[in-house]
Amino acid sequence: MSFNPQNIAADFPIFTKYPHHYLDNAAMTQVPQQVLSAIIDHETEARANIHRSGHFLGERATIAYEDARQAVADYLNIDPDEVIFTSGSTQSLNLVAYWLGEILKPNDEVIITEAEHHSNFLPWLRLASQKNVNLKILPIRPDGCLDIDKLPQLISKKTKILAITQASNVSGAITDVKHFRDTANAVGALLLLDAAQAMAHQKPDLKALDSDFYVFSGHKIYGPTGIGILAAKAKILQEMPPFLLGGGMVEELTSSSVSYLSSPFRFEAGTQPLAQAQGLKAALEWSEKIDHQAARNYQENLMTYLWKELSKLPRLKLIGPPPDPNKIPLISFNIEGAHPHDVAHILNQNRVAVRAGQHCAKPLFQALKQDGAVRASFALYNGDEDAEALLKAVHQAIKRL
Amino acid sequence: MNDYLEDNRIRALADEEHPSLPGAQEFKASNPLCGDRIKLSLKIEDQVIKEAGYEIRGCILSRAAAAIFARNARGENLQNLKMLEQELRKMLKGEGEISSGKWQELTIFKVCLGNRSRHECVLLPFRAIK
Repeated sequence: MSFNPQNIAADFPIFTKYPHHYLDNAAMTQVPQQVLSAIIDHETEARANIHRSGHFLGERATIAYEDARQAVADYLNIDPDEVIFTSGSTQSLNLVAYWLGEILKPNDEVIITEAEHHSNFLPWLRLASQKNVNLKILPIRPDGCLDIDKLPQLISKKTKILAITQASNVSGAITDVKHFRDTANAVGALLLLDAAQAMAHQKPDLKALDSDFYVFSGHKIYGPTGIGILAAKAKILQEMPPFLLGGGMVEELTSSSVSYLSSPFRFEAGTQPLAQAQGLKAALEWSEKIDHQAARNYQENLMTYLWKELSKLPRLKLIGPPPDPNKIPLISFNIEGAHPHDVAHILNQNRVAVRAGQHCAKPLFQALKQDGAVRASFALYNGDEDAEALLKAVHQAIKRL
Repeated sequence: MNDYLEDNRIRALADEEHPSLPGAQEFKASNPLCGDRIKLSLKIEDQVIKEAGYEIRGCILSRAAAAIFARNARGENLQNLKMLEQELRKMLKGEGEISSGKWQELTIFKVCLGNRSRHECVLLPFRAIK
């Protein structure tokens, strides 16, 4: 099957309405018509609350929601009771940190990395300060990749969890998951993978990855905002207390006692993101039809070309490792003497949409000794024209700044 | 959106330097979006600013705003500057004007009227006053 990004882009109404070069996909991808239609269909055909109303719309809504859970489970190769709907990666990560806060003892250890975005940094930082837990941070190398050679110095029998990004939102480096899994296993620690960035560029097999927790957001994988996933092994979920308390998660309740439903329902208090779940399901179904191997080959060639052309430009400093199969399709860079926001301003004038700044990854920028960066992040609908437009706009920025 | 990069006054202001003042009182602010940061140094006597300087890591807009701040801060008290910050916020949204004749230079930032994400760049030096 051949891969043509223009055919993919045709599914996205926003590019017809606003033709431009959207290269801010690491922050949020656009949504195809199939996802929009699924949301509208749900709101016009099955809008009702779930697991509580026996009328026909309530039944339709409940069936649709659990179908969406099954679709996520099938995509990840796990069981549906291992899939918890959340509002996004941030809530998923907070939920896990909250649970560990309940069971960790003083001087237990948590390992994260300098490459984490704030959502996988701040919950652990708070845990460390509130519970007297030791937070250990694996450094990055100058190229932005994790310095896995330093992991043996950090890991110990007190380590209870390694919470690691599966791909950096700044350097694009993909993590060697097996190395972390083996290291965690050696001391009986849990492994959490933050797949907020990686998920859009792969179809993970969680049984093969053997991750205890797996976290991602809908809005970075062509789905809606306001929905994400916490996937966790069933035996762990059985032990986890609920994070939020409210309707839809109680088995028995009296004025003096409460018992909660089993997983996943005990973790889904209150009204859930129902239409968003249909959008997420549609996004996964849409993604299933793509030849991802062909897409990866195309994107790697495109990134290699872009990296080579950018590296020829005066004052241009590339951040992160060069493109290879272990890097998601993004390139971060700076123009010496120019502020990333001023560069992004000129790119925007050329209809090239990128993100500039610190990308919610301050520890990584401190390690790289950079104040920020411009990031061009590619998705399935991006092709040669986007890369050429970016190059032309960067040329202009170098001249003007 | 109009282009602040084409405004020679903004570009010239951004290139100005108003070095920190040894022994002066320090006020800091940062912009979490982009990581820009400023350290104002103000010599204050009887609650009135006598002289202003700064260190800044920022974009052209924040550097230009800092230069206007340093040029005009003499004679102001901190309370007035907080009120000025509110006026500047409103001006950037198209909801008001700068009332003080002395600070009219800030109106050059009306070029950012349609670009909400950059308002904090302009406000950075004023946010440092606490």
